[in-house]
Amino acid sequence: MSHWTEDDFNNWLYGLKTDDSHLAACAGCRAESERLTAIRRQVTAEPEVASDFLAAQRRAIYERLGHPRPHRAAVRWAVSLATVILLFGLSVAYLRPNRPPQPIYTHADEQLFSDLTQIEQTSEPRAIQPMHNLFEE
Amino acid sequence: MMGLMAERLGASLQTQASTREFGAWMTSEQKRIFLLCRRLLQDAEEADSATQDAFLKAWQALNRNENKELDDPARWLTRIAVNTCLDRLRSRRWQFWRRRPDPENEAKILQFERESRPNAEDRIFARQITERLSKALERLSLRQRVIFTLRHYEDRSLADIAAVLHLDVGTVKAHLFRAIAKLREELHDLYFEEREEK
Repeated sequence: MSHWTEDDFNNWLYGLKTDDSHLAACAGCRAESERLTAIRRQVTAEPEVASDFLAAQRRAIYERLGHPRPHRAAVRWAVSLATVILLFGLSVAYLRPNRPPQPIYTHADEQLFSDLTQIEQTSEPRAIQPMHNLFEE
Repeated sequence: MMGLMAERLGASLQTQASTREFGAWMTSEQKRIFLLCRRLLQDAEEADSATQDAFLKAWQALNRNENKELDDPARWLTRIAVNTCLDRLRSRRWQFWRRRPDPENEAKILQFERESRPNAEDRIFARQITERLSKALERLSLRQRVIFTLRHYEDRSLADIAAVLHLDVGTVKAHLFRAIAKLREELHDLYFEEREEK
């Protein structure tokens, strides 16, 4: 009769090997299974949790029962939406095709030079012109 | 104890869950749920927050009268806690900036040194193995991690785990089998080193 292997013991210990008839027949493997069970019980024993920590946690829960925080999923959606809008805005700002260069309007300057030339060439100031119209018949 | 609690909660459900009944139930379940969250999340601070979320969700479900599984409130709460942790673990994948938990804070919250343990050597051994096993759990898929944690630490039956996770027992077995295969080295040190030394 061959003894159980390490895998046999592991699987048995975690409930994957249900046929344990071998343990009833083999004293060595039975003793080993008892040893392993004891180790498991010892290692997985619940650690103590500081009582003041638990009390503070309960207080926090009671507070939240009265004033629930916004749901995490809702917060996540809001942040995602804000990020998308921000990215969209930035991409529009940076990826927009460059504006065509503004035409340089020279008309005003040309008009000015023309007026100056006229002033130079006429003896009367231009402002007098409307007064001539008063005396014309 | 739990039967009485279930009855009281069931009665509360008929009207509105009373804060007092809920508080008594929460106190009786709080440590177990916190430790479960901590084992799944590997971070006491986040486990604290997840525990709060789990109880808050339970409270809201009770007040909405939407829950009809109060024949086993502990299992129902376990499912809420596990799902809360799974949500966090899934979102954690994107948090590349996340810092490692502070071991000093963890030690303050959890007092690993149990008085019932026979001697210092055993305590150190148990703690080392616990830490190694905790790190090794991160190599498992989320479902494997949950199933192994519920089996190893909470000693739940495969049928119970299947009920908590809404899976069939065969699927739970398959995940547990793969988890144990991946954790073989850590489990070897945990259970078999002693035998080889003898």
